[in-house]
Amino acid sequence: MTVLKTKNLTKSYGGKVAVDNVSLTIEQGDIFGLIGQNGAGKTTFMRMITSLTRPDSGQIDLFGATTSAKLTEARTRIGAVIETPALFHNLTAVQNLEYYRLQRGIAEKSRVQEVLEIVQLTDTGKKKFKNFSLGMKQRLSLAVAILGHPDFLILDEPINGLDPTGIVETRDLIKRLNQEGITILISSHILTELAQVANKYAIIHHGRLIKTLTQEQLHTECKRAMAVTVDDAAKAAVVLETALGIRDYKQVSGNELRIYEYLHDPAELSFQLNHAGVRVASIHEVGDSLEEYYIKMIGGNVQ
Amino acid sequence: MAVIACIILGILLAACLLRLSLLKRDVRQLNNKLSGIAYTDTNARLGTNTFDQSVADLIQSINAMLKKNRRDYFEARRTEAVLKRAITNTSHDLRTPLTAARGYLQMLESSELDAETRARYIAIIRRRLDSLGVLMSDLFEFARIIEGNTTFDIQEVNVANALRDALSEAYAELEGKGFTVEADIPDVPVICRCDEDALRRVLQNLLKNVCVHGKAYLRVRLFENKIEISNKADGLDKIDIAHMFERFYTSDASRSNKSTGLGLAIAKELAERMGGRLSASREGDVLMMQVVLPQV
Amino acid sequence: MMNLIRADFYRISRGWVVYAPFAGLVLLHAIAMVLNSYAVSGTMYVEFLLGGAQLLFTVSMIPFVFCVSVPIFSDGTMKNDISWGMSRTKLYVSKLLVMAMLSALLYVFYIASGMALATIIGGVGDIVPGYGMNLLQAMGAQMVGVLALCSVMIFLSFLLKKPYVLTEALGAVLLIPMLINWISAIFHVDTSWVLYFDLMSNIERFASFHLLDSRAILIAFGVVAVWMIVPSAAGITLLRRAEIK
Repeated sequence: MTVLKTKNLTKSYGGKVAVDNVSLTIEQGDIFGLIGQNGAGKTTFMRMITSLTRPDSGQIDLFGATTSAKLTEARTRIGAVIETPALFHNLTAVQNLEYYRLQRGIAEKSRVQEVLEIVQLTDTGKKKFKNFSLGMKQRLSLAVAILGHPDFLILDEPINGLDPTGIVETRDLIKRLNQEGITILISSHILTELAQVANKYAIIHHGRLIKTLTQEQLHTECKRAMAVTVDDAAKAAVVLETALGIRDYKQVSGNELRIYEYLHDPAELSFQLNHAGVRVASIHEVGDSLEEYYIKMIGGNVQ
Repeated sequence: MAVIACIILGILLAACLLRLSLLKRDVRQLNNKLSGIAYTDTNARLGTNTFDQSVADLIQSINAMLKKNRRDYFEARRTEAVLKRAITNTSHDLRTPLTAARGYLQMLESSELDAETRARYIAIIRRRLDSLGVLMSDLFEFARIIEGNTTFDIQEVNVANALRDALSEAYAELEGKGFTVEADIPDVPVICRCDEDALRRVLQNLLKNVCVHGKAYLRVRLFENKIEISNKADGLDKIDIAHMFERFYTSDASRSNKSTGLGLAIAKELAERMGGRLSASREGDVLMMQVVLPQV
Repeated sequence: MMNLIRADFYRISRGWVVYAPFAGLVLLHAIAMVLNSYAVSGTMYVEFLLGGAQLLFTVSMIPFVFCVSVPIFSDGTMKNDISWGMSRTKLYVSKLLVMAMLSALLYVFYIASGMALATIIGGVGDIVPGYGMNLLQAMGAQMVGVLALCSVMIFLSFLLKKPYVLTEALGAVLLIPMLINWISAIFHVDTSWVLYFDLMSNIERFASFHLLDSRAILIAFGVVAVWMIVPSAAGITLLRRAEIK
């Protein structure tokens, strides 16, 4: 089931294009990572999906709803934390949650405590929201977002400004929530952070969608390997397994194999292949760090 | 007088009608929402804006049911995913030794080899087929255990001895892999109620797991009725502790090694069926397995 | 809608600001009693209250705006509601209703507590025949004016958003009649016709409701209705177009 589908979503502010014809699809169960620099258009995109900002053009399909009225109804299945976490300054954590529980018509009073336990914010007592640290604010906002058992969670840079413990906890929480069937859209400008949680990615730069790829594809692109181009891939595969005992390899195209072992000894690889009658056209090491990959993606598209 | 009575009656009537229409509205809303939820794949629960307590109670009961429904649904999906992964992994594991054996067989058939190479190839084929055999028997054993067909011979067993035996069995392999082993086993007998063979199997599997996935350092400790096996390992943050004992679970880090992940699952089943417990925890880069056995 | 209102009442009742106007009015009554201790009685005081409603009472409504709608801007919580799929119209109307309920309650309290206090101190006073009816009519009409004022206040809060600017704007609205008279005095123009169309003057006018003829009543209610509908419609339209920060 498609949770979100946008088609040519566009928004400009005073002549400058913030989001430029962005079309993407998020399926149920995904943890979708939206990566881009600050100002690349991630937040504006999220604001359009949540109807905080009206798009200039383009279509939004949320849970199959496309008309304005149906979209508003569909949004009751969303939880979102956009930009800075904002709740009532003079209320405590429990009071803030109780407010939203009443407002959204959630019948179970116990849900407030439940949600506080999920985000691990059970001991703030009488502390008012204005006295919370940034990490606590984010956790409470997340609590409000999941209060009504949403199907789709939209998180705008949730890792921003957190200390390392907070980052790990948030990551674990996101994974857990995803296992309970919540589709998640996260944005970040740090690819390595997202790489630990997301299963699909979209890279956005200057408002344009540069590339979308799955976790598998990202790993394939980035994993350190020996890229070997041969004339007979099948024969080469047999040689790898039988003569070298290599199990960890992939055939990425008709004539190219990526080998994830024996990185230290390409000469041996060459030798064994040649010995078995396989011609090796080229053999070299590939593999980017995630950052390198990201920069490569946007570097080639700087306007 | 009569006028006042009429007014009061009128007010009462209006109140009743109001209550009735509110209840009807509630029921209608509930019906709409519920039929929406029933036909969609959603986490949504019923919301409320009712003034009536019985309706609110009804909503809470229905929500409890919806919650259970969702939980069961996800459990089923998870099991399905595990099963699919199992099938994929198992077929891969079965295919690999077969492919290798076939490859060597081909070489035996096609080329002129000297007796020494011939013998070597034949030995390799035999080894591959043996490992295939081990895999198959692992699978059968596991199936047998979960079906509940194993009988346990629960006795009072000296766990200290069993542990020492298991360690010395695995010692050669551990040493060969460069492990430093630290054993903290009491000299006095430590008695627990369990099945001796099953216990041996559990310890074997745990130590084998350390050999295959661990690195450099192993510590074994026995106190009261708890056995702790701690070791350092790589890629621990990728291992999902909660899922470690799931049948066929292997983290990406160990995919290329020869393991189907059954060893741990078998160990856990055995431990639990004996009345004990097997759990894992992680601190930094140290993984600790803990076996708890029933006391006398 | 009920849920929104319920939630807002929950939130507002956790603070102290919502109780301030009530306390303030009691203080007002006390001061008035002290200043006039020799000449107060139930009916006289009520008359005073009705006549002074357009300033004395309306000022006390201002804290309510700061409870009801200012926080969603100053604390920035509106995005939580909109992103969750709350209709912008519903949001606006719910704030309006909460403000209206609070103000209505406060108004009744204003008159009732004053009347009670004055009666205790100085006795009931003269009750002419039809007094009860007249009083109820006056209160009813003034209540409508109060509701219109709610509409204006909520509109201004959604328009201006920031607390300080809002206070000044609200103050200005309340003081319009004074301003007009002042202009009239300085420029020597006859501005009495303007006072038919100003909200505050109409509230004052309603104090002696039973003295008005049908035509005057019609014009007055018409004007008040405009003051009620136009700001709300404008506010809702403004909200629907706005970019939520």
